[in-house]
Amino acid sequence: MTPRTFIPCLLIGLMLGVSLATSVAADADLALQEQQALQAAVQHVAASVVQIHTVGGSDRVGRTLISQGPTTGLVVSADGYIVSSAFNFAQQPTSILVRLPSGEQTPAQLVARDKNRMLVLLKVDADEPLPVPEATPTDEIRVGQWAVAVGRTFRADRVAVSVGIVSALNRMYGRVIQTDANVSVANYGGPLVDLHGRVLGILVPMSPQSAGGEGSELAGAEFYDSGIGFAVPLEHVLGILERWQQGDDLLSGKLGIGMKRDGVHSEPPEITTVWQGSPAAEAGWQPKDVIVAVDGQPIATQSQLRFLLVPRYAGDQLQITIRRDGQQLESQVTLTGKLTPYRHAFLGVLPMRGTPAEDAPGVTLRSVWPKGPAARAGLKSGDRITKIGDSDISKLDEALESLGGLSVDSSVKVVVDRNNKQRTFTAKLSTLPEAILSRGQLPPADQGTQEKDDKPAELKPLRMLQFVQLARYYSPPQAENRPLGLLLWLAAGDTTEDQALADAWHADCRRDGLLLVIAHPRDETGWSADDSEFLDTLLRTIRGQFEIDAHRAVVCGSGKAGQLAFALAFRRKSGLSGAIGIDAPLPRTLRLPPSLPGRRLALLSIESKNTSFAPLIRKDIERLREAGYPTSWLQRPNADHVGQLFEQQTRDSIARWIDGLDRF
Amino acid sequence: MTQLRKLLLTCLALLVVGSPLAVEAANLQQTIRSAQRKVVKIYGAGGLRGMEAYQSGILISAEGHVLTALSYVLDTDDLVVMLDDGRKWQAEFIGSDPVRELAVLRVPLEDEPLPYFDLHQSVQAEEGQRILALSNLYGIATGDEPVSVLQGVVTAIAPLDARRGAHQANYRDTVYVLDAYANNPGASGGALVDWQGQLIGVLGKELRSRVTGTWLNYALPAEKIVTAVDDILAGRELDSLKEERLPPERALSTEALGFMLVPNVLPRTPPYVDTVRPDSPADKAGLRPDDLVVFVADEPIPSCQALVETIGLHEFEEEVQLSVLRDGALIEFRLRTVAPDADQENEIELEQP
Repeated sequence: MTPRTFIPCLLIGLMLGVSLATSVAADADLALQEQQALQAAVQHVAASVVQIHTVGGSDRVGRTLISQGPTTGLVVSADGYIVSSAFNFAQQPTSILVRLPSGEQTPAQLVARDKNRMLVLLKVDADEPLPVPEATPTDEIRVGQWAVAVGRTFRADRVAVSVGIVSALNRMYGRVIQTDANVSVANYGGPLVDLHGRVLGILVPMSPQSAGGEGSELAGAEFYDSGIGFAVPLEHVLGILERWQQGDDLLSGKLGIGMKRDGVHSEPPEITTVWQGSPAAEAGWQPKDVIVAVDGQPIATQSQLRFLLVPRYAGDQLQITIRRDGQQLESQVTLTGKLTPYRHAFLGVLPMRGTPAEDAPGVTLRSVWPKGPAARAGLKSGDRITKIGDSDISKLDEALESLGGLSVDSSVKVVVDRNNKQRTFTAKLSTLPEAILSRGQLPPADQGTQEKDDKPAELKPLRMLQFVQLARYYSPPQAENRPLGLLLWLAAGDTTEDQALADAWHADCRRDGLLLVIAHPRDETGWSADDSEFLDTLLRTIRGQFEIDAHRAVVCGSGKAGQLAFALAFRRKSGLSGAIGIDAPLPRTLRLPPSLPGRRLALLSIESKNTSFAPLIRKDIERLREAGYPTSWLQRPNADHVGQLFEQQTRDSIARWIDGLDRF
Repeated sequence: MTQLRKLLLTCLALLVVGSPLAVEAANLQQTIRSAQRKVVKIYGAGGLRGMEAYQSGILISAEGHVLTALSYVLDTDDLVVMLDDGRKWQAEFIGSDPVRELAVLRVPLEDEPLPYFDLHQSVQAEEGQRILALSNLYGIATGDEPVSVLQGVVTAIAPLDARRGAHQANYRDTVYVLDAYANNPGASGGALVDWQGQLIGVLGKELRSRVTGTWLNYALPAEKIVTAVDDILAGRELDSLKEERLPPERALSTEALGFMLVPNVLPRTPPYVDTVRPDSPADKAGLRPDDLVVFVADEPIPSCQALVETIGLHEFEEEVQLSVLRDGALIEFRLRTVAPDADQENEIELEQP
């Protein structure tokens, strides 16, 4: 049927239906009428739905095996532009072929990606104009209306259909509409079609994890055929087409501000952090500023702000109104696609541990970091910090929060109590240090005991009934209100070395108040991704049994175990503050999460002199530092013993590195 | 256009208002109820880790023949078929078709006409057509409870290219792919009917599509199984066993055609031509190093591995149609190993679109 002719046919059919319906003798088969209308609607756009083949690329992305079958795309311009889902190109194929409506196969170029909405734009050279479908105006789309998901995967010559309704509008912060039709690899990149044969949107997988476009192209694919499917309105795609055709990837637009993680739906959007060099920094915004309107539209909560920001692209201009000290300020900002990594500001001090006395709130200094900002400003060990900038400080967490809102290189006034006298210093903040302090630079932290204990360290089992993996711990004597540091040691599977390991760490654990946990993988051949659930539970169990100092909780491993240590530490929910890898490059599948305020993660990479991984390890260190993570490096003698027990000198360096992690 | 649409909507609205919906609902209810009476629950072997000890079947004769899926569930002497009314019998195993993975059982119904699906009276469905899938999926229905009904549409009519674990499904012919979640545990052997209750197909076992990597919902078309079932009932050897494509007597290879691919180092190494042997069929046809093979006939070739396998399915002297990408253009070749005593010039053609 040629386009459009189906409508009159349908009308006749429907009118016939009406006349029949009035007669009781003939049951008006509404279902049949609807079916025919929907089939006609699909045929109306079918010619614009193309099949795509890819050649080469990786066979899996992360742990997901990519199927090799064809995928779907939708023609969006007569001269050969085709849009599809980024999912279909996650494997980074070598070549792309598009089957045109005529049946001709033709090579296609990937023009650009839309990393905000997970789409790609392809271009083919077509001899004849390609059929462009009509877009349903987005403001006409209603929840409950028919929606047919169309793909061209199972067969090249026929489209595949799944019938449902529009379930919701403005999902994923206003970027997609939702449908209950089956959406999967069978139709990602294809259209969601309305009853009139117009296109509601382009089918894509999406999930809250891909909000902001940081996530993987595969995010949301796990919801396939679940009754939850998404489509990016075609009207939007046509609206950005001209800009997209320039060939630059469209990126999510960012302001460069941090906000509190709680009260997203209730609290006003108050800024806690401003990224260095970001649009927000250029506009002169500061922590405690509150955003009250975007482009004149008033907003009251963080989630309202997200609905106005998340759909926007890098390069978009916004008029933003902020409130500061009761006054409203207007800023014109241009969103950026890439923020310079967040780096935590460093004052250059080490705190005494434990709860401050009630009559002496603040943070008493265990020492000042040699040549650090505080040392240059004149602070001394024994000083008690009571104020940083405008914030009163009664304990360590408040000091960290206050620093979190300050930028590296900014100057800040610090008020301290020295010998019961108040003194004010001005320090120019720097970045977190990567040097490891010497023993002499680490005075006692008012915690552990230096007393010798000649008895062997007593290892006790940590029982977790649902796992066969083994974990044992050594806990030093613990004073009240003194949380323990944590050293989670991912062992190589040989439990006979555990006692020797614990004995080697015995004195360090006692002196620094460090809980040593030795964990073994399920499989003798070593740690694998299957052990990660065990490690999550192990960390929860440890935190349930002991009070752990969140600033000194680290995981350590050698080789494969070291790679797992890095992967574990980068998972936000692990709550770890550091990871130590020995001869361990970063796992190749690891996506480095952005460095964030409120989470200070430090890394220590140890390299044996004779390791063949050295070039990889050094490249990774650069990568980590560029991403904003303080990364220390040290070399140890040749690894003649690949196990876990190494020379006292290296062990002592690790202990000193951990002992300095609560620096700020 | 807009006016047309308004008119269309008005008609639809009129239709809704004017249509005796209650009558239609009642009809659908009757359709479903009548179809449910022809579907049975089958209980047999299994019950361990993810292997359910039940499945579904349909009555296909007045003599108590039941068509179901060939599976481990039937692998027991204590096979029970439960009818819609809750009565149950020990079932007799009549025969099976290992390609379609179907089996015929029989329950001793005597002089008691029960409703059944006549495979010879089945209908065909089209893409987008509304369907009902009836089965005892998840074993929800027990005793005399009617089996569960799911509604949806036919998503596609396409060859089954699917696997269970590492094993390729035996059946490769056309199936109805559905958008209802029809193929869950216990559903195989159930009925696929249209909204008039006419049989369209039989629900298959749980399989993953090799095309999309996702779990499939599908049914074997009734017209594709009727002959096999007739053969089973008549005790004849199954035709379907002869239909299986035999491996070539002497398989073709890229070497025989005169070209080598780049070393296959990755699971998806793109099939680039590395070397072409002088005076070979490939050379004479004009294939060159660095050509990227993308199709063999109409079969897309995503990797070296796929090319080697696809060419290996050809007989040694069969003609192969290759499409390659060269400098962004798609070029088609027809290659054939030189047949003895044949005029070489005629055997090798070069076609450029």
